[in-house]
Parts: sequence; structure tokens; C-alpha cells
Amino acid sequence: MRALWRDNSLALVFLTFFVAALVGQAIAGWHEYNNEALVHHKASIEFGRYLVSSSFGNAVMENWQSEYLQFTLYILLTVWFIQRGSPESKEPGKSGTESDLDQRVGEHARADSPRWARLRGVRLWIYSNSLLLAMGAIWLGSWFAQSVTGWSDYSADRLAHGEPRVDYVGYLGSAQFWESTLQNWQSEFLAVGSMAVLAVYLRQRGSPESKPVGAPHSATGVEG
Amino acid sequence: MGSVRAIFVLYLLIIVGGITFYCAVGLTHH
Repeated sequence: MRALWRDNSLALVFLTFFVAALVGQAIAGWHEYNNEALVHHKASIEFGRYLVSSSFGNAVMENWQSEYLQFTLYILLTVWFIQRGSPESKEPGKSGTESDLDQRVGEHARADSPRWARLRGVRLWIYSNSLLLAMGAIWLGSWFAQSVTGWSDYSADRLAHGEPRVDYVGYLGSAQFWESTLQNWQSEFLAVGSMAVLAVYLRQRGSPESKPVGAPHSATGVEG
Repeated sequence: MGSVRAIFVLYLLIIVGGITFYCAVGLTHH
């Protein structure tokens, strides 16, 4: 147990925060759902039914997709784009996927390198991009889940108001889908951009997300 | 590294499970 905590405290703390926030969201969302039902003279629902509703699923997936888009883009764009002075960026002149020597792949792999780093061809390509592929797949998967739960929710709403159904493609073109998508994206882009820029001049002693307190403002790609 | 791998798998299961579950909810509820 001690080793579990010592080796994984960051992942465990975030997991605990995630579960607590999700439970809080579910309870608050359930109350809000039933308040709305009351106003519209509809029956309230049990908590368990709310957990498996499109309404709750849509609210959860909407936020998941934007977070994973943020990390997908950050991983991808930092390969080529530079912010001088940022610990999040590579140094100017180093943009690109770098040499096999720098990346320790193929014949430059070391004894302790992952097995697929020593290979060539498709498997090396997959492993070389595996973080991006995983985050990108999670982004697209959760965005798809947002779209189908949103469509289901939207259809139920239209049905209740005696309006005609919309098909899935029709929902993808709806103002509601794009408002809920873009309101999340804009905040992620601002937060990531500001993190890259603020960390040029500001510091957090002890954090690997920051440069060392005494590092010069001009130092790029230096983590504390 | 055994516990690190277990945490890695746990995170993946939560993510893949959550997405799969709510895809199914969205696709079956209308």
C-alpha cells in the first residue's frame, strides 16, 4: 500500500478528485433535471435513472471531449510550434519530429528502451505516435458520445414540444451542438495558451510544470 | 512498476468504459 501511494500519488489524487466531482455533478444535475421536470409538469426521475440518461451523459461527455482535444492539440502542436522562454516548448530551431538519434529509436535504442522503439516500420510509427493516437481517439470517441447523447436529449425535447424529429446529421448542424462544443473549446485554448506564455516569466518552486525559480526568462524547454 | 501499470489500466478502463457506455445510451434512447 505504501509503495502504491509513493509511486502513484498524483494519479490517485486526481482520480479521487474526478470521482468526487463526478458524484457532485450527478447529484446537482439530478436535482436540476427534476426541478425542470416540475416546471414542465413532467414526472421526476430516480437518481439511478438520471445516471443512465442522455442528459447526464451529454453533460459529462461534453467536458471530456474538450479536455482531450486540448491535450491532443498540445501534444501535436508542440512538435512544430515554439514559444521562446516557455518550459512547455522546445527551443527555437528544434521544431519537428527530430532525428532517430535524439529520439533513441531503431539502432539508437538503448538496452532499457521500450521494445517497439527498437523496431522499424509500422510498429515504430505507431509507438512513436501512440500518445497522440490515444488522446486523439479519446477526444473523437467522447465527442461522438457527446453528439449522440445530445441528439437523443434534443429529440426528446422536440418530441415533448410537439416539434418534428431531427436526424443525427441534422443535429450535428444544430446551433445547440456547436454552442455546447465551442463554449468548451474556447476556454481550453485560452487556458493552454496562457499556461505556455505565463510560465515564461512566472514560476512555481518545486513544480515540473515550471522552470526553476532562478532560471532566466529566456530559457526555453527547461523544467524544474 | 506493477502498481503503475495497474493505474494505467484503471484510467484506460474508466475512459473507454465511460465513452462506450454513453455512446450506447445516446444511440438507444431515441
